[in-house]
Amino acid sequence: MLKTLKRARDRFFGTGEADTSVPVLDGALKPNNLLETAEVFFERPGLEDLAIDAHGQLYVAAGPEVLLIGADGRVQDTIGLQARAQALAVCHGNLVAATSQGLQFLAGPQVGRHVQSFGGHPIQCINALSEGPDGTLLLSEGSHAVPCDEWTADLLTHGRSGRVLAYDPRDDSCRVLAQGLAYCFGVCMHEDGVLASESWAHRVQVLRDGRMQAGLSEIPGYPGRIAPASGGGYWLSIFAPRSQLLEFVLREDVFRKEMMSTVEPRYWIAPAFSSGQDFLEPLQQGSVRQMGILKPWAPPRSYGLVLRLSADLAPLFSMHSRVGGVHHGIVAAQEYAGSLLALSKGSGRLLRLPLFEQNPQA
Amino acid sequence: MDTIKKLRYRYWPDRAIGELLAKQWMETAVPLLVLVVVVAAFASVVDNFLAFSSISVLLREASEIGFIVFGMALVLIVGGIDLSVGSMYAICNVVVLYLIHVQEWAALPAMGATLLCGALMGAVNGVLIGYLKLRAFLTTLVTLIVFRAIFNLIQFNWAVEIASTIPDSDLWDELGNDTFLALPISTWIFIVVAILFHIFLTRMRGGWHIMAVGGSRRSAYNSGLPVNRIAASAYVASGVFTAVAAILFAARVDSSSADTGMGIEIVVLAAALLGGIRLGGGKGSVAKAVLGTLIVLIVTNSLRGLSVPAGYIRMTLAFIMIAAVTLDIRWFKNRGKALRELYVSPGYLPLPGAPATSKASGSPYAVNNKLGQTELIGLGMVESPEDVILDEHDHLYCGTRHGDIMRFFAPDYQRMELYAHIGGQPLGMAFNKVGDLYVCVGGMGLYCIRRKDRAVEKATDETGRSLLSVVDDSRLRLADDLDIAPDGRIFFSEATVRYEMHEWPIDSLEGRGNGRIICYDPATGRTHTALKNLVFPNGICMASDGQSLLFAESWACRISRYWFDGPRKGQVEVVIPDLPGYPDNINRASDGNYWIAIMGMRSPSFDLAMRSPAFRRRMVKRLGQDEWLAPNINVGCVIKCDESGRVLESYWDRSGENHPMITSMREHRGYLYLGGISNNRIGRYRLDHADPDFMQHPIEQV
Repeated sequence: MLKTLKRARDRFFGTGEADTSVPVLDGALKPNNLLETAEVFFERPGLEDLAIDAHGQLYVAAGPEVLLIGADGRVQDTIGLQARAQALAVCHGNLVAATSQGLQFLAGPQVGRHVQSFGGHPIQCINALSEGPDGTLLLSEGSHAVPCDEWTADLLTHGRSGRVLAYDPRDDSCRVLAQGLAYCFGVCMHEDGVLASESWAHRVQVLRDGRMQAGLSEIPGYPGRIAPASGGGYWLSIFAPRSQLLEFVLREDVFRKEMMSTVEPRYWIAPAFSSGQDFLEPLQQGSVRQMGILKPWAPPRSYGLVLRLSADLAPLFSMHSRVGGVHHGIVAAQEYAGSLLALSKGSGRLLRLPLFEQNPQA
Repeated sequence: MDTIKKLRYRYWPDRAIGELLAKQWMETAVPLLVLVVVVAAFASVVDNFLAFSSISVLLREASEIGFIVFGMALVLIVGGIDLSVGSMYAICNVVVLYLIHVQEWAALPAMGATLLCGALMGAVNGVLIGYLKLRAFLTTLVTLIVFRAIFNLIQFNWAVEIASTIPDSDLWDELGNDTFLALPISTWIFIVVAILFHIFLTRMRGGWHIMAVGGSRRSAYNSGLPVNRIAASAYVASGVFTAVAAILFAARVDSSSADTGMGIEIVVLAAALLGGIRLGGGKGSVAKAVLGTLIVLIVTNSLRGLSVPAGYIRMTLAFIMIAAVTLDIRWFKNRGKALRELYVSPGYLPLPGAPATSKASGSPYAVNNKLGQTELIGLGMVESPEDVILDEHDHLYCGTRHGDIMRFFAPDYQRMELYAHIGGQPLGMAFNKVGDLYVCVGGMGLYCIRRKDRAVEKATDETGRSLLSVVDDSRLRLADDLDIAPDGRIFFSEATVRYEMHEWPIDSLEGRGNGRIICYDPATGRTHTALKNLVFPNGICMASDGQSLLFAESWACRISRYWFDGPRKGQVEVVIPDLPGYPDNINRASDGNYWIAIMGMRSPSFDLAMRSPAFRRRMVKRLGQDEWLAPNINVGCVIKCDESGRVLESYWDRSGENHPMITSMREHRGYLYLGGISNNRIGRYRLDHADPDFMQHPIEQV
């Protein structure tokens, strides 16, 4: 009874569960065009993740391949995978890639090892890898229910089956650090704990001693992979924007179910890595072109955003590719040879930005 | 299930609710409702409430108080307040009694002098507030005290003399006690004045000026109104109305006491506010004043009849006032929002499956890049050329959103001139046989530009009003496209009767039959509605038989044919039921086929939303307009079809650089000219195998 009344009140005033507001891009998140105007370091369709080994060599995962890229941006070597790469990392000397088939150790002491399941459960949705403590490998599993490619389905069904795992390749054991996350996409060591992006909850969680605590919340987008930054702090890639329309659709159960059952996934009302190329995608009134111009503040379907966090997870500054741009869907950002590499999955481009330019304090 | 949904959205009057709320008189409906409730409530508890004698007493009192409420209403409308009415009332009362009883004046001059006295006292307020710009509240509070002091002095001196004489005047007695047709004389006077006052406020210049000053003092000043004088005269009028009330009261009671008019300003103010007259100014009417007066008097009299102590009655009045003011403020603040949310009423619009458009599909709609090499005319020089047309010298005409018709000169179209200024956004255009240019103008109607002197003339801007429509739909809101029948009659579409030119994207969310096709006959000058309940009718084009026309319904994604003459007169037949996008203008091609502009493409999620009206209604309520789902009008194309609706080919700008958005196309001597409502350019595309002499509207030289 009380619940019904509360729901009626919420619906009338647009508060509580009927609240579709989204945090604004302001303060450290004030929009700029740094990502859009950044130098394109490397370009290939299907780019997914990047990793830098102890010798400073750059590997990128693109489609079913891992490529070694020289300092000049040319491909020097290619390693084939069993399936499309979902994540890549260098961990205690091992080059590891995750695919829908599990983990593949491509180089290093454990080369040739192939992990397909943990405790009998296949691991199909590992979307980020990171070096953990004591020789372990940290894994972020987006969802237990759907494969990696169908992440929008997980979002639209309010998925809460993401996990953070710690795998020890020496004895092939796996420990669950956290579970029940609303899509986990990105892990990283943090002091004596672990950072994990909980995408659908728009926050970065801090895992410490089996307890979970929100480190950064109310992000105006869906947070993705996290990488350490030189001088302390982190680079957080935000792979898709939040929009009020989507927040509204997430509360419209009947419509959402019908949409998911009758409409092709790429034309759902859902965020995307890139948008604007196909007229069958949904469009919002603010995105109607006037005099041939799409306003950069139009409601986004895809967006490019990298957020620099301080060591205590406070946002410092950000780099953007706004609506109408192409460098959207930033899924990874790491420092490489004195610059920042941001991987735009939407455009299949690896962008290079000078480190000093972005930091207003520098 | 779908059938139930369909029936519910077809027959349930969703639209009427929002439209009713948007009506001005809805604000009077609230106090009327309160009055009905009050009457019902007290009629059941008070004895003899509906007896004729008690109604008569009530009316007599209401006509006295009502006059003061009129004065208060005027002052409130002009943006002020008059607290001194009670004291003025007392003075006028004693003055008229003194003149008649002691000075033994005749009734008429005595009343005239009293009215003058009221006017003078009002003028004191008026000069202080209107010209010296003192605060109305403080000033009238001061005059309330001063006038009361004066009243006490003269009443003390005259009271005995007034009480000791009895006047000998029939008129005076009749005014006080007689009835005419069972109603008191004072009530008849009140009714007559109320009607005149209503006419003054709503139909006459003075009333409009008062409303304007109260609505926005600065705007009124800027438009040249004598703001000070108007404000001052409202107080003078308040004084005169108070004097009238005092005379009627004096005639009825025929004696004066020290507490005459004490606290009457509270009753009057409560009546005005309860009626819905705003404290902020600019809003109010006679009906509201009358309703407020009746409610307050019924409440106070009935409470008195129930032997409630006077203190409680006062307290009730205070509560009524607080409640009225609070409600008024909340309503005024949220009115626009509530209206906007309730006005948009999405309908159920199931669309047939969209044909494929992908390159590999092999359908006639398959995406290509034929328009990728379009030549651009006037890039950056024109904004919003919805339609284009060419004359016999190949000069090109287009409209702009600045309300102009521009003309580009053949053969290179580098130079342009202002052909005519209309003032509204020109949409569809057509030449008649002598070269006069007929233009549909959004928000204005059908206009004609004479060839000989470029004079802009209104052809028509109204049609017959629908019988069962809440809003007045006789005015043309969004005349869109036109074509001219062989006999000279002009058929044009009005896309929607519910939204203005700049709001047309909102109509896409309704997906209802809001539009119509209208026929204007230049020979007789008459206009009539030919077809109603069309879903955003847009393009119009005469068919080859001269008895029918093709028209596009944008949100319904279909092309239909309508016979306006001949054996099939009145019939409508769908020609293309399932376009992959939203059709705009239709024009003839040189090979006897038809060009159709597709201004935007359907998307599966928007199609689904069109089948989910409740979803759209909530979306409109919860989200800002920029966040609403919209039909994708960023990408469009041109298609060609024959008269039976078989689609032959399509023209796209796949790269999206040159001309992705198209609302109109016109074939002229081997070229296709393209217009777009949100473009800053006109496209020109060379057609292969087209008749090099073709003109859609041949002009006979005269």
